[in-house]
Amino acid sequence: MRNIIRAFRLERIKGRHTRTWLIMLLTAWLLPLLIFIFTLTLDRDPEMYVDKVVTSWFDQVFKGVSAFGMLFLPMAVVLLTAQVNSVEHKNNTWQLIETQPIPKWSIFIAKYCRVLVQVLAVILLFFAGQYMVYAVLYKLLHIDAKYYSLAVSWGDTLAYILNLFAGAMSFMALMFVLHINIRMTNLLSTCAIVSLLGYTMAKVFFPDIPAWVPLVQLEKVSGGISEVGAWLNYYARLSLVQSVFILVIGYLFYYYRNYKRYFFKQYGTLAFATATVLLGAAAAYWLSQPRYQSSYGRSVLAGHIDTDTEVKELLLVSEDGLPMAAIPVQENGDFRLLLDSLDIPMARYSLLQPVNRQPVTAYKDKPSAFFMTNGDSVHLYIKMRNGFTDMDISGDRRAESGAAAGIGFSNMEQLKWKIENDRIKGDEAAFLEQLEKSYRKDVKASGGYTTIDGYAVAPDVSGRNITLLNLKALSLWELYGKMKSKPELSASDQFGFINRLREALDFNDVSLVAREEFADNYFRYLNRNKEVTDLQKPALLEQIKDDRVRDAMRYQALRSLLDNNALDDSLVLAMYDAEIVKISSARYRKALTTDYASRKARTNFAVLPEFVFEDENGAQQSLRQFAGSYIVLDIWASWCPPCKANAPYFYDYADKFKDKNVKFVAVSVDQHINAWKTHKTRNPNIVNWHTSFSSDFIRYFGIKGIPRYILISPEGVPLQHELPMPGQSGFETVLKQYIK
Amino acid sequence: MDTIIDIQKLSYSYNNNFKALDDISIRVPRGAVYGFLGPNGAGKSTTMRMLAGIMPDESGAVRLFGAPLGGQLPGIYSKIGCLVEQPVLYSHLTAKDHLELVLKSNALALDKIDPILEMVGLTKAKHLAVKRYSLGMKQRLAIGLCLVKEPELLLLDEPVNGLDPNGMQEVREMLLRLNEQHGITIFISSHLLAELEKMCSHICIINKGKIHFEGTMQELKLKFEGTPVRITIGDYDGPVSLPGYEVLRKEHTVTCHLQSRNEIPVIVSRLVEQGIPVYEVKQEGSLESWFMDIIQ
Repeated sequence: MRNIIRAFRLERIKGRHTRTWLIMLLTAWLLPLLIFIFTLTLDRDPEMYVDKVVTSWFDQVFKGVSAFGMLFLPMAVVLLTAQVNSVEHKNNTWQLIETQPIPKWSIFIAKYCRVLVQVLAVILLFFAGQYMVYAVLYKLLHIDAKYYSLAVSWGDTLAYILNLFAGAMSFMALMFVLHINIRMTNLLSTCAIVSLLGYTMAKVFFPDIPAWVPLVQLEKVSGGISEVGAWLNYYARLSLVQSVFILVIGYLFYYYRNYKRYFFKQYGTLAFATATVLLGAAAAYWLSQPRYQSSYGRSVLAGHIDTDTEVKELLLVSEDGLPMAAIPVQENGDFRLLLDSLDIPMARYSLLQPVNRQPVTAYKDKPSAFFMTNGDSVHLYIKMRNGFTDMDISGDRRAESGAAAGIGFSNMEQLKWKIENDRIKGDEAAFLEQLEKSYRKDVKASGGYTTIDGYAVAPDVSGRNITLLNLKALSLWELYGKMKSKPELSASDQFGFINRLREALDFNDVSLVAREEFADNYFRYLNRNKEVTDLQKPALLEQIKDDRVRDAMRYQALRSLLDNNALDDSLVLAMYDAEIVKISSARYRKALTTDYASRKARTNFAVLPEFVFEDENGAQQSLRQFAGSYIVLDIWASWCPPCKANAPYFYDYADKFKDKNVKFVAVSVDQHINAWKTHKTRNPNIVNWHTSFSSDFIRYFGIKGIPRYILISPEGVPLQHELPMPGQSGFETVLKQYIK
Repeated sequence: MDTIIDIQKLSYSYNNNFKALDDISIRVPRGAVYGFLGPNGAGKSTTMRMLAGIMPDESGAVRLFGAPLGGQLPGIYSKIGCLVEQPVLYSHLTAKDHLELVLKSNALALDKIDPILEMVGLTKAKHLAVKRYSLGMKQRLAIGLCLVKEPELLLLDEPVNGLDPNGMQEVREMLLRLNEQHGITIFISSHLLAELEKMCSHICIINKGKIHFEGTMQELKLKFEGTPVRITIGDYDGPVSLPGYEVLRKEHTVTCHLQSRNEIPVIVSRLVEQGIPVYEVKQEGSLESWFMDIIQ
């Protein structure tokens, strides 16, 4: 440590007369001016979600940070790094420094720390300059005078500073190492080789990495939105691994300055190569891991209440009425609360007076509630007179800036608006389409909250807003329906999003119950998360108080009951008769009649015994499932020329009768299943089954030769044991006698 | 007298075809002013760099203060002052800054700045950036940087390069004074024999990576006491004999060792008496010419 301090002092002496501070000041203080002039030329988006008055101040700072982070910070890093290192290069003074009684590593670290400190200073100076310049400008231009009060804007600023700093770190390390070893072209090639090797190794061990990892991550995080937060988030993430990685390589190079000799010395090469490859692989792997963006958790809620009555305490309440925290109000009306241990999901919040639970709301078009999330600093100025309240909001709030940027929460707001309006129109398909589109956008923007299937969950919905959750859940299910497997969150669900989602699901939303998966989930929920059989379902319905939901759920229960082939027909029908009368909605009753009729027909389908057939997938099938329809059977085999000669006609009739109440079933009696599978038709109007030539079915009909064509009635009565060949005109004539 | 620098059989090659140093051994006793003499490209600077630890010696052949150099880095630099090749200085810093830098890195008090500046004659220029210095001033500052940490050993690579005769004289006197008063061991390299002859107590002559002589100045002088002469003669088949002298004949060249210059006319007349044609008589023996012979 003493060495490092000493080395740091040396660096300070070396830094004399280099005008480093001038560069730092220029980058930090001139920029806000430039950016301000530049932003004056930009058009404001008139439809910006957030109230302009609130954001006009923050807007400028935000844009400044954006430009600074994107362009000028890297520039400053390059300049400062060059300044620190070029003093050694210009006159080759490494030699002087190396012949002093100070370890090389301490000089290396001191130099890096110097750049680090300088960059941090630039960032801090930038923020200070940013605020000051804008405060002056706004004062001069008399824009929204009261909104440049900087009361509690530090939460967000802190987050930005940290982000910028972390983002600059890896870039700095890279520049630093490059400068130190600038004459060694070896370094560049080694870096390239190492990262390629690392990537290849990562690819071998973790084949899921789809493409060049950092690029994929960048795309994932930024979500196609050129937003500085996403960029910084990505870079901050990258920097931690990368700066260590680059610094280690840089140090090795620095220490063994006659690198060539070192490199070609025995084991040193192997150890070095292994270490760097391992590091590279670790970096690549780490980068490939989706991480939830870290929260810089300090949120502040403060302000002043100006009232004619006595208010000693205010309650922070979430949108669903859940009290979050009590805020004591001082005698002079000031209040201030640091919410550092409280999770504040992105949502709308309001303040209540605890005594009469009257909301501290506003009148006319003034906002009654405010958006807030982790890391925000919200400042409220509340004026209450004769029961009327006026509230002004200021401060730096990511919730607002997210909305201003047109991402995250505002998307959800739009979504909410859309669903409410679309539901009135009843255009569910269009709505779902819209929902899915919005959702996909959210997924992109969320950056890495993934399920096993690779779908991300936008972090902005991990809040308590039930309606939003429902929406999200709906769209999730919609998406999952299109995927191969059902949703299951991977182990990285560290914030328990899906559990929260399940807990918070509001099953009283009828539109959700219309979806089968929701109904299933709901039944499980009613049954205390245990599996529910179809017979148990009706009893569970009594717990539901909402009539419409109960109707919808009863409809779902009866539908699955009618589909349940495992249950005895008479039991199913008896239960159905008992339950159907309890449904008050005619729409649901009507929707069930078709299913009921076919099930009922099946009970009469008793003439034929139960025969077992096999379908393409090897599953067992029965003729009973076609109860209610006429059935035309074609008994054939792939080795039988007359069967194959007649088959095209049979398929044609299937097409011709496809709109009639008749099923065309081709039953193969091939010995080799594969022969059947190769020769069976792909005609969608034909049901392809297979049975053995010694089966009950063949014996029942006394089939000795094929082809054979059989007609069965909707009640299961064989009408024609041997129809004419489809190639003959008699086939159609006979069918038309029965099938109208 | 203990040994400060002890190099045992050090070899070094930059590539496979050329050995920069071939099995050299050097011993420098404490308190010596050790001259390291050799023409350009002899391996002086390579040896210097290895002594200064700028180039690592992986064989462990270099021992300073009785221990291998590699194990003592970088702490040993508080005991060594190095000036390798040309002076390396920060062009934007002043002489004062430089001295401060070195003192701070050695954790020494800053009150030595002014005496040192006076010693190397830079008091007037102490607030001037080094980029405005002449070569001589830079050289003096570099020496000052070596001296300021009061080392036990000074490694100086051509320290008087670029100095005017007056400056050379001053530096020489300064070094001798340091050697006498503080007992500092000085290892000084040069390609000028005359320069080293004037101040060194020990001398080592190196050429093409090989050591040709190592010993005290007295030993060297002793070797060249007397006057060897080379006599070129014409065609003469008979034996050449000069009674009282050892004669070495090689075809047309006869070499013999005389006690003093005054004997030259005597032996020439004797040769002429024998009927041997004498074309040229050349005095051989100066250190300078011997040195020239070596480096050719």
